[in-house]
Amino acid sequence: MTLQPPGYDNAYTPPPVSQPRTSLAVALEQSRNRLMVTAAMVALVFSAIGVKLVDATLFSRAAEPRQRLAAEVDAPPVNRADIVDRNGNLLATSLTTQSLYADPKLISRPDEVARKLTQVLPELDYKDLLGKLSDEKKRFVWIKRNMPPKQQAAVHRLGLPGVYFEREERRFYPASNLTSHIVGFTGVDNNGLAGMEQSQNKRLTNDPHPLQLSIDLRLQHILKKELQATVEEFNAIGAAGVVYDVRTGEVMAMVSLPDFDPHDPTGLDPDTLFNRATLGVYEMGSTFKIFNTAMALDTGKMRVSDYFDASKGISIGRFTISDYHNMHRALTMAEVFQHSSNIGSVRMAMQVGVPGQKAFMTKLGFTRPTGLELPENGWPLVPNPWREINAMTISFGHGISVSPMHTVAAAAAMINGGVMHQPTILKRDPSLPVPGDQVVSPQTSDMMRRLFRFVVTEGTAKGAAAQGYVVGGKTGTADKQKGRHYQKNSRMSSFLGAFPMHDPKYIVYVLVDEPKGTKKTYGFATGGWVAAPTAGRIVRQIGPLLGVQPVNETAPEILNATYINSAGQTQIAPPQPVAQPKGSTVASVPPAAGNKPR
Amino acid sequence: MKYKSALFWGGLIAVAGVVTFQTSYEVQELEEKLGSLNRKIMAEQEAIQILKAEWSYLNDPMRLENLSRQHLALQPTEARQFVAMDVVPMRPVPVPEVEPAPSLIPKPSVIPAPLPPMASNPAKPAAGAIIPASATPARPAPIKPSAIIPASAKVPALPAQAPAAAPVVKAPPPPVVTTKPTDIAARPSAAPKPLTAPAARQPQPASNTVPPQHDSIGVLVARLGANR
Repeated sequence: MTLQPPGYDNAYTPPPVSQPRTSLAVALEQSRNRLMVTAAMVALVFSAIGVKLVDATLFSRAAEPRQRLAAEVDAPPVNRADIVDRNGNLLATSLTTQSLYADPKLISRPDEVARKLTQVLPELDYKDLLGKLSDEKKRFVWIKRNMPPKQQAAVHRLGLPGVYFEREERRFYPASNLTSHIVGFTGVDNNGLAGMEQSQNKRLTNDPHPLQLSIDLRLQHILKKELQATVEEFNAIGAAGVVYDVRTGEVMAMVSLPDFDPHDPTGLDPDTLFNRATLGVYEMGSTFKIFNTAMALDTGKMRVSDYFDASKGISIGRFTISDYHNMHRALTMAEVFQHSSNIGSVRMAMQVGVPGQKAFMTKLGFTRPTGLELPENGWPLVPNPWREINAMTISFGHGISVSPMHTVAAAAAMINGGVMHQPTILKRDPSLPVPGDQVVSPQTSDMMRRLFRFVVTEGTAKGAAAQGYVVGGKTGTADKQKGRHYQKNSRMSSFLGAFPMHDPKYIVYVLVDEPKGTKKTYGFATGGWVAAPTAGRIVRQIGPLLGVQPVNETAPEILNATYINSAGQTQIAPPQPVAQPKGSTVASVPPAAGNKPR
Repeated sequence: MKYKSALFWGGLIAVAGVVTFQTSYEVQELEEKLGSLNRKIMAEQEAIQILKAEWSYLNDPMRLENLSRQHLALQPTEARQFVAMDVVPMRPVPVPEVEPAPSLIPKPSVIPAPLPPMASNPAKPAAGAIIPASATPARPAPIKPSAIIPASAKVPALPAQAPAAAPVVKAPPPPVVTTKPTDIAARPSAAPKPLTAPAARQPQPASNTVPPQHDSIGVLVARLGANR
């Protein structure tokens, strides 16, 4: 009895056994059980709902943000990142523009709306607009895409019902034509269709920070200005130019003429969109002797003072290899380079041998695209199989077609101490080491510097001299191949220059497509007459911008680093012979520059 | 007692309710403010973007070049206009006495050397004469005319009393002869100036036998303004 809970009614007594449960009692118990089950179910469901409610409101992230965030201050308000040059000048940016559209059904007086709109947007045609606005079957007509802010404000002020703005983004290129081949352009949906806009499309849409290129807008301008002047002077069909940092592999400027307006690239001649500097592959002509000579020197079998017989042409099969200026005698390697002798070059290549040449050219990257970050990267045209006749022609730059960028990148390795860097159009982090492969020895590279300088002081490229900047280089003139034949009067004239030669920092490359000789050049349209003076003018202007300190070109420490004579001697002999090379060094420069068009 | 505690709890609930409501309204207001600020920031950022684009557009090198050609007398920098830091003189210290003998002796031997070449064969002997001069200081001479200056600069720093004839005379010739051959042809007015100036000044030191003083400022001015 003590176990009974408090409040339990003692009065209840179970029915006696003699008195069995009535049917009423059974029914009552049954219904009570049912009620209990129902109540339990209802309680379960409601508690489940309650739990879910608490969970949804208190614990999980609701659809509505519980806390508003302040707008990020530096985040650009557009979806596609800017492209800037190495100094941070804008090359491509996205602007938010407003496009105007109308809902004709909501316009009650189309004539009045059309009249007001044509007043603030004079470029619209009244009748055309009236036709659009009167067409009540449509609920949406574009009136004008991508309006400038001023026009938008003007339309906004009109307060016309049924006329609305739509926010859109549009790519804008402040430098316009100047960087058209590098930056490229986008389509209406803001997807890159050419240049860096295409190759870096993902990067530009995913990362809002500006994409920095290695290009310098000022150099780009100077390069283009001078190339344009050369194209006009020699009535050429096009030109390409590159300014290249030999120590990092950065492309500082790259121009291909003719260029185009990236805001409206539709309906253009394919030749205009064609990037001659990277996509075009050409037979480079004599500039290839840079690599032929470096190859010969790097084998260690030949020295720069060795003689090669260049007295008469070499006959192979039905071809005869001859010289542009035949010297009719044996030439030293230095003279072969100086006079750009094809015969001497062939003899040098033959001493290296076909496999050696193929391996060397492969090492310099002439058998595959350059790997520059542009979608427009040309595949070189390489002979297959690589036979003796090919080896012979390749020694003076025919029978293999590479892009100017290939030539520049490989030439940089010939003079920078022998390290081949991957060319890039993106700015390198100056604190990181630049990756590269040693392709020729530093001794070979040192000799190549001297030979480069020799060509400018006493060879075919006197016009490239720029006082104080110790320019060196190699000219090239290649007849263009049309079909199966070489054409005598259409050629590619080029000059690959570097400065300052005692410590090469930059390469200036100029290629002119089909120049015609002028009176000033006595009808010549070779690399020495066309491209070299252009390169000299470019060096004179970009030298100060690049911070290259002008030096006294006749100072002994400069001469010691750059001197070579036609006998292949690099030592400046004591007084008596010294006057000879030095006198001609200085004396030869000004008249040559004076003759040239400036 | 029971009544009092009920009153207390009721009051507390009412106060909490009021505070909650007030806070919620305040938050709402702040959120609205934040929203409008965000919209303003976006608008400003868009405006900045447009201004940046306009700035870049106006800074187009071609346009700047045309403007500078129209409105300025500036020309592209030339190699000879760069001077090494050690060529730029320090503040001149007035030194009253300079013994003429030591500077007189080297000078005549140097002056004739660069000058005759101007008339006859500009480069050959000039180059020959310059090299030994610059070789003596045993110090890199980064700029062409500076190769001459170190030789003379070995004499202690001197006041700018008499405009240094010797350096001025020597400095212009290299640019005149070598760098701007077409400039002279193109500008008849500019051409005589650098040519006659040295010619006129040259006799002076010879006749007066005043020791040619070394005035690096004069050299600087002569080099920078020789072609104007």
